[in-house]
Amino acid sequence: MIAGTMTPTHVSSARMARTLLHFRLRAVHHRLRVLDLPALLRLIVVAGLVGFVLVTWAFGRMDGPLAHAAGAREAIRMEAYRLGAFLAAATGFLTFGTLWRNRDIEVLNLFPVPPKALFRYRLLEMSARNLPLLTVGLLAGGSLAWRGHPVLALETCCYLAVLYVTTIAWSIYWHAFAGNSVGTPSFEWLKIHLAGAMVLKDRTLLLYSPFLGAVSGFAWGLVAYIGLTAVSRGDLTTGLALLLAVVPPVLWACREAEALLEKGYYQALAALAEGEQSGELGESAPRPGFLGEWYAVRMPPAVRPFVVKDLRQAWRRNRLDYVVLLTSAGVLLILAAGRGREMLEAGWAWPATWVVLALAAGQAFGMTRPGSDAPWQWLSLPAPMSRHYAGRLLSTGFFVALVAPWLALALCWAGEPWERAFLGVLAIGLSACVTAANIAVALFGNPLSGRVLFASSLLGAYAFSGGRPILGAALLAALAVVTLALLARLPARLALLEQERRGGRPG
Amino acid sequence: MSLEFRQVSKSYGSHPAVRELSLVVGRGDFVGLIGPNGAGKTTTLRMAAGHLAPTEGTVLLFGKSVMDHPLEARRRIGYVPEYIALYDYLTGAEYLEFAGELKGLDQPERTRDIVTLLDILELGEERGRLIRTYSQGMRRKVALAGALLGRPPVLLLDEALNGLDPTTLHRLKAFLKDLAGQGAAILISSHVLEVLERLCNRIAVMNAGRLVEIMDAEELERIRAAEGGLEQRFVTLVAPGAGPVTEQAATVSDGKGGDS
Repeated sequence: MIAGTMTPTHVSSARMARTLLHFRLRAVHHRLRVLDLPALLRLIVVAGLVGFVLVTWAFGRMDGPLAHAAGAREAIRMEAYRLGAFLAAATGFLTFGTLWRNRDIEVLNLFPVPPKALFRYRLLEMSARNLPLLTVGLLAGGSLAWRGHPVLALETCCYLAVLYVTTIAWSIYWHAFAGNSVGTPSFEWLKIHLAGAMVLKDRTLLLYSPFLGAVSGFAWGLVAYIGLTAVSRGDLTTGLALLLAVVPPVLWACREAEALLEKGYYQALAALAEGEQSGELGESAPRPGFLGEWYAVRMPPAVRPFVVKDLRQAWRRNRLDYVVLLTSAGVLLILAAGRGREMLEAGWAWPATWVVLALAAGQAFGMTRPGSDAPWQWLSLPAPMSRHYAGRLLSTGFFVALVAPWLALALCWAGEPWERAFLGVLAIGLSACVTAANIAVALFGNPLSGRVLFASSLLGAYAFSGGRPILGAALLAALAVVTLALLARLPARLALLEQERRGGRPG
Repeated sequence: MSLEFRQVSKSYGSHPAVRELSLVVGRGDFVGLIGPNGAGKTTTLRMAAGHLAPTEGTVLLFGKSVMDHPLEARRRIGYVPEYIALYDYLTGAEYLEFAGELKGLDQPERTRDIVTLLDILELGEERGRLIRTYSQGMRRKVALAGALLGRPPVLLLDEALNGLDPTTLHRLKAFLKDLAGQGAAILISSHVLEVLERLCNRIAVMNAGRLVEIMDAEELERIRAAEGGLEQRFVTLVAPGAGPVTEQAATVSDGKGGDS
């Protein structure tokens, strides 16, 4: 130690975790003080209205034909089970961001924070930040209780809460394991690259860890679910045994995750930072051609290089979103296919409900993140229009369009032949509509509006296929009008870009 | 030796960013790192801070590998990265309290240091404002203060003096010199040659990932007298075909002549 310098004392992990939490709460306090209340209220009102309508429709359906039919309880349990699948998938994905993609990693990486303290802090953060996901569960439980099914309501809430805990515990374990596998030759045999994406082989396990977190959390949640149903049927011994059986794996996952982080958290961060760095440096390196690059040839010269670049990068940037999207869609469709058309229709409501509520609540809870801007500013800020931005949006739209045929194919799996054809065509048409709407709104609107519109289009799909053709058609027509109106302005915007290019002004 | 790069290389895929770097920064050493864009300066500093692992070779901090002892390294290193990351929704004073607590400083020392640094960096009046309202220069000052808290024995400053106003720069240079005088090892990168040649007792020149020259205090003085400054020498050194420095030249003695 140099002369005249202070000697840092070694701080316990518990005290360090308290420090992290204390200053995080300070940041939240400051955020609350600088709230833009009118914008926040506007957001809450809009999200609340849309959410209310969606929940009413979803439970209205169960309250009608399902709740009074034979096996209604089983059907409602099935809905909770389906909701749980989405909850697990979303939690698995979001916890990954909290551990390895957090905005404050760069801040904390400068200081001697023991991984043990960081683990405790991140575990708390994951639990708090993903709480909005549970609002759907609370709404579901509340709605069931209100309709006179208190036991089912309690069962649903308990099941979702247990699922939440198991998914968080197993997610953090898999994320820690995947992070530690980067730069470690001992896990080489596990790094099997199935996606064919532009991801370094060394980081392959990171690609799968959200999925693994969701699946393992969901599996243990399922054990708890079976236990809960056994208890509600009066089989206390089996039920309690199954419920308690969930506890050891959760504790094990937490303990192992803590040990993994303690062993190699900082090394993993260094390895991850290297991946980011090599990605940046690799921009100019030759890359293999990418499906859809022909599309870029049709773009104006000002935009063309950005579209090509973003098409090549789109999968890399969005890979986790697509893995989660496809996993969720797969789980939904498999469950739906096994329950007949009635459940298939109701199934559309859940993702729509989830998207709107999670986003709305997520925006509100976003204020707890000290490193990011106030989320409600998005409502008033126009999206920046630049050549680079245009390329990014078009490439994202292209990927959404790529997913559509698979969804249609999966839908064709269930139902009568004419229904298969109808649902297939509907899915392709809706996906195209959603893609165009997203591109248009993101080009000329702002991000939040784009997402709400996406959810609205899903709502339209639900209404259309669920026996409410007039409302569904009206929603889709409104969506089409907005989309076409916005897309009509595209040539003018592209011409402006071209003009800027010729005039040498920055885009 | 406080900080030692031992045959360190770093590649990003097939792109070599740093090649066979050997450099010692001892107690009291104030070493400037200069080079054209893409020369490998930031990668070098990030490896020293333990934020990147070398592909080959080792970075040693007081004889221990930085990558093998990441927590110990962060206890002893104050690092200001090129791109500043801060908590936007804390005030400047709160952020420094936070940094001090994470560094394990006791309350009296923490308070004393924060007051001193806020004064040197002229942030006293702005200490109660949220960081999100700060200008880029003020953000840099807060990051500098966070790194200097507790007066760490090794300081890594990546373009950290850029964008500071002249008064603050003047005070900060005096503080850094004083710190080096007390035995701190400082490695600083910058494109502002005039600042480095007045501040540092050694200047290391990097080009295309290689260390191409190390100039000690005497040589710096000679160059100043003969050529008026480092600029012409720098241009010559980074010209195509310039060779790397020998290992012997890179490991010249510490500024204070001893290890800690």
